Amino acid sequence: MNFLFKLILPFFLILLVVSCGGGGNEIIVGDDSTGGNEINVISDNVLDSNGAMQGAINGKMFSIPSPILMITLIKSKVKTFDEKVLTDPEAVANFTTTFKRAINMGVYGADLGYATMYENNTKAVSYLSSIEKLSDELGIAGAFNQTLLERFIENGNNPDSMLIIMSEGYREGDKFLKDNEKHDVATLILAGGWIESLYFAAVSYETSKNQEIANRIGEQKTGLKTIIELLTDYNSDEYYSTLITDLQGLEVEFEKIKYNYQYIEPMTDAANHKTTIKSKTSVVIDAKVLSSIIAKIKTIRNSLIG
Amino acid sequence: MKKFISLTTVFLALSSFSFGQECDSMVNICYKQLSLDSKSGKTFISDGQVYQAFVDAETSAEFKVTLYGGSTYRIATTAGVGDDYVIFNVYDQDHTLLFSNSGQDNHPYWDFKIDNTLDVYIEAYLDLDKKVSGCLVVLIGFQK
Repeated sequence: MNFLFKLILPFFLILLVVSCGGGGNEIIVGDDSTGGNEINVISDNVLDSNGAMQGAINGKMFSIPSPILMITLIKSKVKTFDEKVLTDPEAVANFTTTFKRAINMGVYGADLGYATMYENNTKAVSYLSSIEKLSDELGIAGAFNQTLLERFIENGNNPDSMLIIMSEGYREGDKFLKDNEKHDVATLILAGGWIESLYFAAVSYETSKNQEIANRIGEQKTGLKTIIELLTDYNSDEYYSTLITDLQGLEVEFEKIKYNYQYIEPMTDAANHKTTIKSKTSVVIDAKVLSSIIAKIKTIRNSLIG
Repeated sequence: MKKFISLTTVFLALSSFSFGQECDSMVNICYKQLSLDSKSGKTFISDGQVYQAFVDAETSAEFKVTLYGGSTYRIATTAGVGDDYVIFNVYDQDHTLLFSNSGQDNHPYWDFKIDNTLDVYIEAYLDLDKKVSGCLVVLIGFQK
């Protein structure tokens, strides 16, 4: 009875606090438009306790470009599937540390995107299976489960649907990791995907010499800066020092690229909820700088997948 | 004292759970916006990242994004049952305002056709006339 009382009492007290509201540390919000259903009672200490729940790090939110957009550009310029640019999906057993598992979960995600967009479904499914294993080993509950794998296979004739399903898995994983304060793992996954997509661009440029691919490589400066900042924030145990040093070496080359920006007034089509951003930008990369960037990207990527 | 700490711990744990649940449902609402009213019949593909923050009257969420030229993006937001709780602004690298949904009845999502690659800052905060604190979610989708 005493035990039961101890168990139930906190719940009654919580209900009491929530019902009464008020007090100097609480904010009460009532929204009539929702028929009174949207009422939040939040005390300052609860707000503080939820700091870690945010998708932000040290109060900062961040974004890293999706590999899919890079692959979209590459596919529009290089029509043939090149298996040699991909990693070995069977190598998953070699990844025994959190660092290797997380970074290669990102690498495999980009490989999955590449195989999907070039409609090599057999290859795509083998990457998804490896991603499922890495996801389990990293403790990411439910992001890449059997249901998602089955949906992916069922949509095998529709690459767009397959990419949507794949992005759902990564979005779920990202949310799970951020909710559980595993920001370093979330960052490593994003960094792995970004590095692999940049590797695709580097190899594709070497074979095609396509200027748009060269420009897209040059446009990665902000993504690179973000990844370095984030990894540095998490490097208290110095697990990521080598990768950070390598990326900083890459950043030195990116600093040599010239960027121009000219504001032009955007055009908004309110009826279609759409705005066209017309500002002009350009990237000027010296051929030697581009060669150096490509060489460094290849070295970094190959060091991660081994 | 021990009892107080124990009660506080339970309270905070349940509160965290509650707000976690609140964010969970909002991410799902926001995700649906990536496929709404798509004129071309194409769904926007999520960039795989969830931008969520607990905000109040004095805080906003801000992050920098590279938007690639030749692509169309959708920025979707939510902060609750009402679909007009969030104001979001898009600024260029010089912090010149490119778009604000405040002039569009706080529409919860908006599409952006990007002529040339550029870095933008996205700032999102609650419309204090409608809600003063809670979980705020932003998702970014793109069309291939």
